[in-house]
Amino acid sequence: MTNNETIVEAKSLSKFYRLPKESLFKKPEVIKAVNDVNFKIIKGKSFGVVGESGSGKSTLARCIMGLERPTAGEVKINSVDIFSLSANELRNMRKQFQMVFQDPFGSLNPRKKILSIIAEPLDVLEKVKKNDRRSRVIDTLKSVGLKETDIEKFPHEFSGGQRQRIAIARALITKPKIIVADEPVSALDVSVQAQVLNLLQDLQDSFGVTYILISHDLAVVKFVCDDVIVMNEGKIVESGSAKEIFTNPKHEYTKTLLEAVPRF
Amino acid sequence: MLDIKNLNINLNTVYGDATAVRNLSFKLEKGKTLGIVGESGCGKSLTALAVMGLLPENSWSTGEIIFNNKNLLSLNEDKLCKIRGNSIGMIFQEPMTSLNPLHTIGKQIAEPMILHGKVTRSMIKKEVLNLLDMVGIPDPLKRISSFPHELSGGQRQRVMIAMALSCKPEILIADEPTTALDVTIQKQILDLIKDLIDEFGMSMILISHDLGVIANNVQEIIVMYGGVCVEKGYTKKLINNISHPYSQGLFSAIPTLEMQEDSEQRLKTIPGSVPEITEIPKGCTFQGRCEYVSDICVKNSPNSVKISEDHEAYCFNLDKLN
Repeated sequence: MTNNETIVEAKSLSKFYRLPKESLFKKPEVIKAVNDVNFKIIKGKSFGVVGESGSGKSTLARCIMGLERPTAGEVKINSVDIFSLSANELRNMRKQFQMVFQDPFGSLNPRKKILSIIAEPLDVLEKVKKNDRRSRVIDTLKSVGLKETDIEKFPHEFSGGQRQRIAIARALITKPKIIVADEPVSALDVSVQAQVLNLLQDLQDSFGVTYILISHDLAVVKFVCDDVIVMNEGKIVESGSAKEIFTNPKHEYTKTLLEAVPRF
Repeated sequence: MLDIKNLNINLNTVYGDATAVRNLSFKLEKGKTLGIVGESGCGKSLTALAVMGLLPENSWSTGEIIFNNKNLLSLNEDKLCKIRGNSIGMIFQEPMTSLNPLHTIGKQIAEPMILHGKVTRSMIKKEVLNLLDMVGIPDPLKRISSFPHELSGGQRQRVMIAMALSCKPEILIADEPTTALDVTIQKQILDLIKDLIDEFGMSMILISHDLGVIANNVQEIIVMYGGVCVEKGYTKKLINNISHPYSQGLFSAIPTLEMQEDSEQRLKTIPGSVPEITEIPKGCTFQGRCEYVSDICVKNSPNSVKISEDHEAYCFNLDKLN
């Protein structure tokens, strides 16, 4: 399967935000959140985006997901530029890429049961029969290590790690080709973080999904990812295989980042 | 200098009473640094608050916290106020929310010094400028009249450090001082704290969930789980011979940069999750997630077992482990 087929490609992607005018006569300041970024992601591999806060990594994720329209450049998924699609076509395309958010406490609707939380992408993107819907939710729930009986529960009955599993199940249910995970473990305790990281790897082995993992934690990225880009102030400062970047960093900024990580 | 004996902290929560810290004892000597490491809900922050006399209203504590021959737990608010911020300083976790947004940073740094009568009116500005310079804020003369929102996260944490150090305390308590910061800024702040401690000969209690941060910055470590100390010892001895099943699990669950590149590799995990504070079991607090659990762990709380000089763990099954 890994015949080096490109699944996602960003071509001179830029996203600028305009700040409110300070004075009527001044030009508004522009923040270059993502500035002329190029990369290719290979099918079935994990792609890591590393950077500190404000480096533009989350904006990049939102552009790849089609949640933000870039100022310039294009994002191609399976060779289709997603921003040339109509709203309808883009929605259909979304079956193929899903997102896991950072905060498992804020990203699940507290008033819905797990069944309807996980089934929501199905309801929006595919028309499935009621029985089918239920059995697919149960299958997905089992694949992330939760129980069949959990579908009747509410989010507050679960711990942080379990909630993140639910969020992953919700991303998996449409059988996506790509999952964008924005800091998926940063809100979790260390002992639980390991469980979720192992789960992500298992799911890749069994479903062949491509991950785009966004994280400030270099060790997490090294553990999960095959290819990595390092971002600083909206630009890619270094890109390459995880092994290369972590053992033999070239750029000064990457070196500073790696040196700053406390070790024991 | 600081001697904590059998500290118990109880909380009155909506789900009933709970013991958040149980029988915690440790000593901190002058000029030494101590780290408390553990996951959320293990009682590490409450311990710090107890030393500061800042426990929440719905809590009560027993035991003794002896500081310079006085039991802090039995002092009244007036006397505590004289110690708090004066001989014991604290750096809080969130630099974003722990500064007052309505006052300039100069005013906020000056406040503890004025309260504790450390400086005369005429000297205040000079002192504040000195402190700002010491914690590495560029252009202190300009920054002294800045408001917190004009500073970055790292700079705000530097201001917090300046406040904590303004009265030259004997003990500095740093509760997750770098959790909200980026790694490069984290390193700067930790290095700064280290330098200042050496300079003033202060003692420090550093609290963090990050084992790397703890291992690099303190001389002695306490590992806490479910409100009790499960292992403590001198940093080098403990890191080289991690003994308690929980500490072992915790250390091996973290991906590190030194790990070998191998797509088949998996992290070791501790099954289950951290128990809610109201559901901490009697006996050993780690029993529900421990692979070596036996009958005695459920019945009794384990006593301290000496592993080597200055290194002990609280577990019944240490011989099975190694």
